[in-house]
Amino acid sequence: MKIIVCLKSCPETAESEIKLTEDKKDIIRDKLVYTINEADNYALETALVLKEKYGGEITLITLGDKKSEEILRIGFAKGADYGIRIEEEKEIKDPLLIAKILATLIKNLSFDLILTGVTSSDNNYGITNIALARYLNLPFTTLVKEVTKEDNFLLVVRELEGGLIEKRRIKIPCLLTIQTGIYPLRYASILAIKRATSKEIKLIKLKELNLERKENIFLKEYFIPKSERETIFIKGSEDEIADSLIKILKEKGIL
Amino acid sequence: MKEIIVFIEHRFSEILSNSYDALGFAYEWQKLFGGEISCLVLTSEEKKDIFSDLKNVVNKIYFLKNKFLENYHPELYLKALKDFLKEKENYLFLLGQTSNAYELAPSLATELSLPILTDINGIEKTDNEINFIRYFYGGKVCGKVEVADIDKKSLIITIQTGSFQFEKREINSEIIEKEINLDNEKNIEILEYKKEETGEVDISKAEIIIGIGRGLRDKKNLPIVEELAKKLKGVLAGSRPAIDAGWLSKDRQIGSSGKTVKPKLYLALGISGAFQHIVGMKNSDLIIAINKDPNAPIFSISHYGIVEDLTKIVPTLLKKL
Repeated sequence: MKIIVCLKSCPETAESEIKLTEDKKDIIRDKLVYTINEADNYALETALVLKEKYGGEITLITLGDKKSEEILRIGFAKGADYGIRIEEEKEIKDPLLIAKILATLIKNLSFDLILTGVTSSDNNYGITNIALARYLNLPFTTLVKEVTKEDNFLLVVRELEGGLIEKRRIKIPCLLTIQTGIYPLRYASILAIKRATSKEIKLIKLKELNLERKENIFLKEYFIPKSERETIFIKGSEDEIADSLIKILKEKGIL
Repeated sequence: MKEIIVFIEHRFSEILSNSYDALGFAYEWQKLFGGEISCLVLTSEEKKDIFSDLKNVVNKIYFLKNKFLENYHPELYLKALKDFLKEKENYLFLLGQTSNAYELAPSLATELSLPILTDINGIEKTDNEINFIRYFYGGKVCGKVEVADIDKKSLIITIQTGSFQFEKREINSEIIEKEINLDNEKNIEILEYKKEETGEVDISKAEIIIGIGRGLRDKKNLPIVEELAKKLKGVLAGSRPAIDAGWLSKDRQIGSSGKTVKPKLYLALGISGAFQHIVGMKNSDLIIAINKDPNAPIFSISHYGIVEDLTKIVPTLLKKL
């Protein structure tokens, strides 16, 4: 199977404190670490598992600045074969435009399957993937948590609400968006990532794709959400905090 | 003024609650900008009677009927919606943020060349602008988003689960039923629906829940939280990252793709509080959160907060219990 995986480089924010820039149009990024978007990492993992099972090759595609080549190298270190970066000088915010750019590139490539994450951990729009499928006129399935191949079809399990799952049979070529947790993630060693530095990354300039750069949605400003409750913060040494916590649990009749 | 069209999603003879979120948004939009509200239902003839709740709450209800529309199908639903909407001008098409909306909303937007916004939880009207509000970065930041030429253009919006209130109204709804033609050619076949297996513990009945998240960092830290759960006579549960990492089984997941809980105590350990998790536990009687990040959204719904690393506080606490 020839598999294309679309990867986005995102800052790791789940465990770090986020602050806004003065004009509120961005978050302060200097101290954040960039890596493969969490859900995309599971898409990459799925591609690696499918390659091991059924053979084939994996091409990684990303849209971003020079720094985002790092995620392609992580992919190479894990077992991906080719990498393409579309050069993005200024961050594009409209997911439909991003999908159009990806589609313009991918329509000239040969592939059986496109894999992406369900959504990105930064903007969380969840639009680019399915829009890409439609621009390429491909059948699609979202929120995939199991996938196997059967002749010219894929059997997939997708996640619905409240612990319900749906089984589908989908014709190849197609696009799947992969849900987090589908497989345990493998880790790329620093050595393997270093070794991948020599691997060629194909560079495509946005201009070469001859697209009108028109965005229809704009981020006006960010703000920090208001607290819904007047949270009481327990402070002090670790000992003092533990004592206060026990006192609260006793008062509330839990201990 | 835009016509406000709310897509009503149904499964196994029930309207999905997310469609009421979309109706709640429709009311809010109407208050600010006016316009008539319609509901749009794709259905087979037999299932029509499950929509009685919609009568008298909106101006119009469209029933588009075809035997292949009994259950959601990505290709057939897309065709039916596209054919219906391409006859309309200047409308707002609203969907609840469901698993199926992840497919339908973007695919419709590309077919109809319309702008799209997902997971909207608020709206704001200023002098000559409309701001749509949604979360970014896992709920740590909110953003105001604008859409180009919104006066002239139609727009597709999905609504974040639980963010708008549905209210009963008394309006005479006009009902429009239409049998539609649908070519049944497709590349996807839906084989079956299944409930995921549930484990031996039903966390939705537990009175004390110790919830763990990404902040646990490593499987080797599991014993301390297991011991804490034991000492507090509670059960261990978690947010999506804790399940994805394989620390806990799927039946212990709390949130929009897991279970909803309302225990006497919810102790959130290293959970940042993405809204997908918060919708599953925010009605707990007492919420105490421990997290390193002082701005973690979990604190905004907690009664008590501790800004610390859980792997330091929990062992200290264990010694004293």
